Amino acid sequence: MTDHDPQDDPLTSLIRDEFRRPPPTPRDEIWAGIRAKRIAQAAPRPHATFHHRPLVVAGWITGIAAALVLGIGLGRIMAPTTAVSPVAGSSSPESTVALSAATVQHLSAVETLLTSFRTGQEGESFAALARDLLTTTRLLLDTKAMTDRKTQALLEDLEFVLAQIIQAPTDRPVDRDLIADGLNQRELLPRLRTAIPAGGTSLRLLGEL
Amino acid sequence: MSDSTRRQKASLSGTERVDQTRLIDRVLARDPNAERELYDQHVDRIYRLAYRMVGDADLASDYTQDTFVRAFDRLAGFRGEAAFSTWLTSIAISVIYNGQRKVKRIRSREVALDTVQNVGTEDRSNTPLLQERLHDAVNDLPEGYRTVFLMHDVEGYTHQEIASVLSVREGTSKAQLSRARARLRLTLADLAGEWIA
Repeated sequence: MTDHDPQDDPLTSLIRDEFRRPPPTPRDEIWAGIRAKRIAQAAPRPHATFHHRPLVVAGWITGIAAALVLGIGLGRIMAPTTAVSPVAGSSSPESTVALSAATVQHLSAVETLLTSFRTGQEGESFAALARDLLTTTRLLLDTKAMTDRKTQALLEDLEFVLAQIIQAPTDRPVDRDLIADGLNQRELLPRLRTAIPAGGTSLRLLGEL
Repeated sequence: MSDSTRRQKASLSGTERVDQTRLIDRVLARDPNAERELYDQHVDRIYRLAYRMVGDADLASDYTQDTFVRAFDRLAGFRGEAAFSTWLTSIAISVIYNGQRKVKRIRSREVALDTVQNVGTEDRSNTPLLQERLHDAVNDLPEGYRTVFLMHDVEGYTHQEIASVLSVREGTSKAQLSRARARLRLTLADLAGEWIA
C-alpha cells in the first residue's frame, strides 16, 4: 500500500470539498487568546488557604469514590444486561458460543492490560502481552461469525489503542498522554467492563459446549 | 491550498529544519518576535485539522489556542526527534480529543434536559442533504479510522507523520485508512451516480 493522492478518488475529493471546509484561520484572535492565557499563567497564584483545603480534599475523595462506584458498580451491575450479544449468521450454536467465550476472555485480558497501562504498572512482559492481544483482536475482527456491531466497534477501537501502546516509547510522556486521552475519549474501559459479563460468564459459556 | 502544497509544507527540507531549530532556540531565549513567527508558521495547519475534526469555528479556535499554549509551555522539552510540526500535531490531537470528550459530556447533559436528538457539536440546521450525508458517513467511522482519514486524505498528512503523531506504525495508519475508505465507499455508494462524476 502506498500514499496515494486522494485527488485521484472522486469520493475523497467530494469529502474534502464539502465536509467541514475550514474558514480562514482567525490568526489574530487566536494569538490574542494565547497571549492572554500565557500572561494569566505567568501571574503568581494565591496559595490555597487552610479554609480551602478541606473542600479540595473532600472534592478529591468524593471524585475518587464516585469513579470507583461508577466504574466497578456499573460494570458489575450493568454487564449481564448488556453483555456481548450472541453472534448471528450461519455459524453453528457451538461455534457461536465458543466465539462468545473467546471474545469475553479476550476482552477481560485487554481490560487488565489497559488498566495496568493507565495506572503505570506495566511489568516486563507488558509489551509482549500487548502484541499478543493485538493479534487476537485482529483475528476476532477477521472472524466472519463476528457480526455483533457493538463488539466489532469495540474491537476496532481496541486494535487502534493496542497498536499505539506497542509503538509508544516509554520515555515520551506526550505519547502516553495521547494514548491515555484516547482511552478516555473512546470510553474504552467502561465499554470493556460493560461488554464483560460478571460472574465468570465465559466459563459458563464454555460449559455449554 | 492544494494537497500537493500541503504535502510540500508538511515535509520540511533540511534547511527549513535548521531554520526551525533556530527559531525554537529564539523562542526559548525569550525573543518576543519568535513566538509569533513560530505560531504563524504552523497555525493554519493546526486550525484546519481542528476544524475538520470538530466542525465548529469557535471550538477549533479554542483547541488551536490551547495547543499553542501547551506547546510553548513544553517547548523546552522538545528534543527534535520528530519534526516540530509533528510534535505540535500530537499535542493538538490530544487537546482535541480531551476537549471533545468534555463537549460530548456537556452536550449529553443538555440532551437529557432538552430531549434533543442531535448530540453533535455543529449547528446543522441549514445543512444541505449532501453535507449531511457526508457528515454522517465520516462521523460514523470509528475514531481511529476517522482521524487517519481526515489527516491523510482530507488534510494531506503523510502516513509517516500520522504514524508519529498517533504513535502507531505506518502500516497501521495505512490499514486504518484503507478500512475507512472502504466503509465510506460502502456507506456513500448511492452518491456515486448523483454527485460524483
